[in-house]
Amino acid sequence: MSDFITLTITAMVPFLFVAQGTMLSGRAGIFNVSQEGLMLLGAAIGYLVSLKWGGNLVGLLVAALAGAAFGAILGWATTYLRMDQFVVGLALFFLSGGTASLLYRVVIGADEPPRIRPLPDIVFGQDVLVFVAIGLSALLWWWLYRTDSGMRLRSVGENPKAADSLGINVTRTRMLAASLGGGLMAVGGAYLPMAFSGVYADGIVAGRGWLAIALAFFGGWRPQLILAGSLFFAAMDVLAQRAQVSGIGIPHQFVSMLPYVATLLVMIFAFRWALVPQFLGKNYDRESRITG
Amino acid sequence: MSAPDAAPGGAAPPLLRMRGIRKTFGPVVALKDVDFTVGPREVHGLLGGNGAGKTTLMNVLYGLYAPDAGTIEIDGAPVVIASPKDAIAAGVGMVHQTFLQVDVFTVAENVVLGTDTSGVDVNGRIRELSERFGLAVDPAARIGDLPVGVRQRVEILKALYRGAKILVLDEPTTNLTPQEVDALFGSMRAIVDEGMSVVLITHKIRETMAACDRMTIMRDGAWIATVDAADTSPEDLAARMVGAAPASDETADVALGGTEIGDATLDVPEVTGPVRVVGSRLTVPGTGGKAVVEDVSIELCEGEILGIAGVAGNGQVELAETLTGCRPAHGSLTLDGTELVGRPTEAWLRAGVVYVPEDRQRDGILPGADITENLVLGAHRTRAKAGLIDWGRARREAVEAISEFAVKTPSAATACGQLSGGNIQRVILARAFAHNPKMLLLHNPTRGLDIASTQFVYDRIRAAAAGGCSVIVISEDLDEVIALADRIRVAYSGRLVGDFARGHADPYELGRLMTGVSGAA
Amino acid sequence: MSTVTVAARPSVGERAKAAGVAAIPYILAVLVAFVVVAIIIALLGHDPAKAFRAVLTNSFRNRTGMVQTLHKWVPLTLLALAFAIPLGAGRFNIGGEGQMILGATGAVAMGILLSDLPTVVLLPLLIVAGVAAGALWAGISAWLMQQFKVNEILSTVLLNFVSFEILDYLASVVWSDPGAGGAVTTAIGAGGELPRIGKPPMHIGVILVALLAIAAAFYARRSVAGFELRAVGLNERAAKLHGIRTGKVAVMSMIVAGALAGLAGAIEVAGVHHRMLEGIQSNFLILGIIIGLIARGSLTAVPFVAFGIAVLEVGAGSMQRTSGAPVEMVLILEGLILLFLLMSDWVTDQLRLRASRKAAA
Repeated sequence: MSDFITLTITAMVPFLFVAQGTMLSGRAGIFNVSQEGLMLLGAAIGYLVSLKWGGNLVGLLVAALAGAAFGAILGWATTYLRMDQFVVGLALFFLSGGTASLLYRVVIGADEPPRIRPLPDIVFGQDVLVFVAIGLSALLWWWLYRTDSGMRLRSVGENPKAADSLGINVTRTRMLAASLGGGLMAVGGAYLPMAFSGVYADGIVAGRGWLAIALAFFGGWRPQLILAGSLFFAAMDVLAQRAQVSGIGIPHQFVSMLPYVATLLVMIFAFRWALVPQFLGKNYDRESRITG
Repeated sequence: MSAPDAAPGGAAPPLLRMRGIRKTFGPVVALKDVDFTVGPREVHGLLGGNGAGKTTLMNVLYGLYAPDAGTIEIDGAPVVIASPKDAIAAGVGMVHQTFLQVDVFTVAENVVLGTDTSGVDVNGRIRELSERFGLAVDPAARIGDLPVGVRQRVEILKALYRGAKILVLDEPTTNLTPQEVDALFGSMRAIVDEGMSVVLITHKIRETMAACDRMTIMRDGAWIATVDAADTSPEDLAARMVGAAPASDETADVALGGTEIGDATLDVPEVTGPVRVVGSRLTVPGTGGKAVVEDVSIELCEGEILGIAGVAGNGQVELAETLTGCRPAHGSLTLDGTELVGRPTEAWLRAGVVYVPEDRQRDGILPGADITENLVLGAHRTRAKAGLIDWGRARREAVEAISEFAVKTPSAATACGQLSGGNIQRVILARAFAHNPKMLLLHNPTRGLDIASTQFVYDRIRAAAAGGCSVIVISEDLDEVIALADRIRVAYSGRLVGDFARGHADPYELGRLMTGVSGAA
Repeated sequence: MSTVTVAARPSVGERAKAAGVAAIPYILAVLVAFVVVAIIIALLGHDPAKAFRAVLTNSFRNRTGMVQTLHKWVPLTLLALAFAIPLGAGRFNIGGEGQMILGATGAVAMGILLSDLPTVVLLPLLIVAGVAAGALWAGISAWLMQQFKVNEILSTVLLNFVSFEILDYLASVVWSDPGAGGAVTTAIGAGGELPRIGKPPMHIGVILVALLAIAAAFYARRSVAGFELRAVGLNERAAKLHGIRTGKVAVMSMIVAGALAGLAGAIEVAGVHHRMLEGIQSNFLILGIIIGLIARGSLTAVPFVAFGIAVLEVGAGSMQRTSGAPVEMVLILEGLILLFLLMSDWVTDQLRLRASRKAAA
């Protein structure tokens, strides 16, 4: 049982990073849908850099930078170019996923991939990123709800026109939130080879990026509730993974469905909460003339 | 009349001087080298019809629009205002017509948003400001829960909190009752007494005469004149606003807000004819237990125009949608004896109930579709044969409709969203009348239109009524309701109160009903 | 009032000119994407010219390449339509592969359980079962969207992952072919196979889908349903106020999309594999979305764009064999074409804005 809890806490980490990244972008009004691809990119970069150029922490850092770069492209395309957020998000999902595959193929080729060293444990059998992820959630809560700049960021996601009229730079805020969010998503992906598999594979993310979006909705786009909700998603994840290893009477495929089916059911309630930022997914154009 | 850049007293530089401001939107020139000067300690009216460029000019001052040419000086020193941040730093505050507030934030959070609050007693400072200027608010209240009048006070407090020297108010009285208008003008005086200046954007002459020291008149994006209140008269202002091409006296009167109590319409006979529309006990339940439309009953004869006045946000949109079948409701509504409640919107349309919504861009048109397609919208099912639409015929009819309703457009294939507000409304009316309506409901039908288009809309409404159509005009412009309606009722908090025949309504009595002060029902 | 009669629409010449101008960003986006990919290939130490020659000519060099391309074109067109149709109503269907897998499941179930039936009975049954299963799968998302306001991007994607497990269970447990090794079902009855024509043989699903694509394009332009779909996508509120049942239109668009994706699954089973196997969905979902977006949701453009992408996809393997450039380059190329095309919108807008400023000044 305690083993289950330990595993659940580890499994919580990628969900937490990616969902908090989604939340952070979303609170400024940028609805990123490229998580699945950014996690894959983070996983590939994290794995390759750890393997070849200096270990896990450097791998995490480079992955974060790559994710931030993709987040910045999303921010730039949707603020300066005012392109549709979902369309750009999907395009970046393909591009980042394709880039991940390509990088891996170019560096490793078709050989049997060597395993990287896992992140070292600190206490309670948990590695450093577990504590970083929880600390980050607390920090995000404090920033968004207890500081002037956090309030500004939230106002940009709720009513960018109001924010703009008070001298808040909507474009810069959105760029910042999209970049930081993209960075967090890639870190969530980079954690996967470091904590679980030790190697990269094209199927390593297995829908966690999409589930993290669901988690952001489930947590009402609030860092503290996302932290709580991530335990639920992690528990489902662990159950599904365990079922594949040890049979429990019913075909393992049905247990593997569990996270997705449970999430769908949970979404029915999450979308009733209506805690979504008002301008989530909507672009802002200062000079659009609404009234004559 | 003085020259635009002459400050009162002569010697000291004016508080604000804008020179040669030019602004284009695509091919449209919205501001034609406008000069605008505001002296210290004055309420300066910025007067003009809709589309005159008043708001555009002030949006340039507030850094929301980048001008193509022109300079701005404050206290004699040139300033560059590229964003609202620069405007705030230069001492400019602006209250927009649609409030720029974050609904989920509290009053205090909205006021301090964007400022540095470390070491500041926010609530104390807000309380101090609200007492000094007579702007009562509760700093802890959630802004989305507050009525319009309070939200406007918050907007003014936002500007004062940032130390504005020049406070711009854009049509601040639109959604206020006469009583609230008096309070607002009192606060404006208190602000000027403290050494600041107020720019009052309005299209209502009476307001400028009552509240302003000086006023600047604009027309078609150009500066026309700047005059002292003492040296002018309402007639003089009206003449300058309308310019060389005056519309009919009555329309100009309504558009400019000059209609006086009672007016010369007392002797108009009451409309009597066969009853066409009977709505009884219409109710739309809301989310929080309180109904958004509550127990509304109406009765309309053929050819009758019913006016519904009211402050925005008293359930007008919901009421309009209920009366036109766009929103499910309890109760009953019959048209020529046929029950419509409970049937889909399409059935109401087929029966002859036609809706001209308030928000033209959002509710009235498909902005990305061309004029032909927009004219087909709503009639696409009745016109189709075997599920297919005859676009050739639709295009021919569109050409006819464009010429009949004088829509200014290069072709029928032009996207509707590219037309001006007045032309969009003409397209919407062309579509509405193509349905041969038996009951026509229009919500704020002339908001944002120039005088020619306003006159056009009024003519069409009257012609429809003369042809036997029952018309409902819901408008937040009390003068418009008084000018058009055979009977007037008031929307208050989701209910309909009062019932006045033409010529028997006193604006102050209507004002009391609009705020729920008076209990007549 | 002026009595000048305006034109119903611009003249044929003007429209042709506008179409020509509209084509420029497409051409530029494709060119720039190829240049960027050429640089990447060169940096990786391969020969871009050789790579591109392999990619672009493989489909046309012989009849086998052409048939391969057309067989690829079928699911690509269907999945692109399955994305583009809900997109017309402003909904994002990211569940094409799940719907396709369910379609394949429905088809394979018929093909295995009723394997003795003759072609005239079994083949239509198989196709109908596939279409119905795909529609049903999309219907779940549509219902969640309509009834509970669950974001359709999420629900369609999550159902993809559920469908993978269903496929795995059926192919490795229920109808597993023990001789195949891996998750593969036994073959369907001969009566369920799509007839093939020509040499090398091409299944007639190609003709079926070609007819379907023409019908879809015509229907979108001329029919009431097509107009309502467009109206909902352009302005849902206005559409609702003018008597269009917007919820129904959105739900129907999702269900039709599911039916088309299901048909793709059924055709893959009946025409190509004659069984269901893991990975049957290939990367058709992503490619379908890319095609739908490059076509800007135009159902008329979808089949043509799909053909271009099919050429690239069929050429990818040959590119890796002859030049050594990895197959992933093709996906990068397609993603970049899309991204540059999207950006060209902005460039076009800027140019138009500048021109109108100049005209006004």
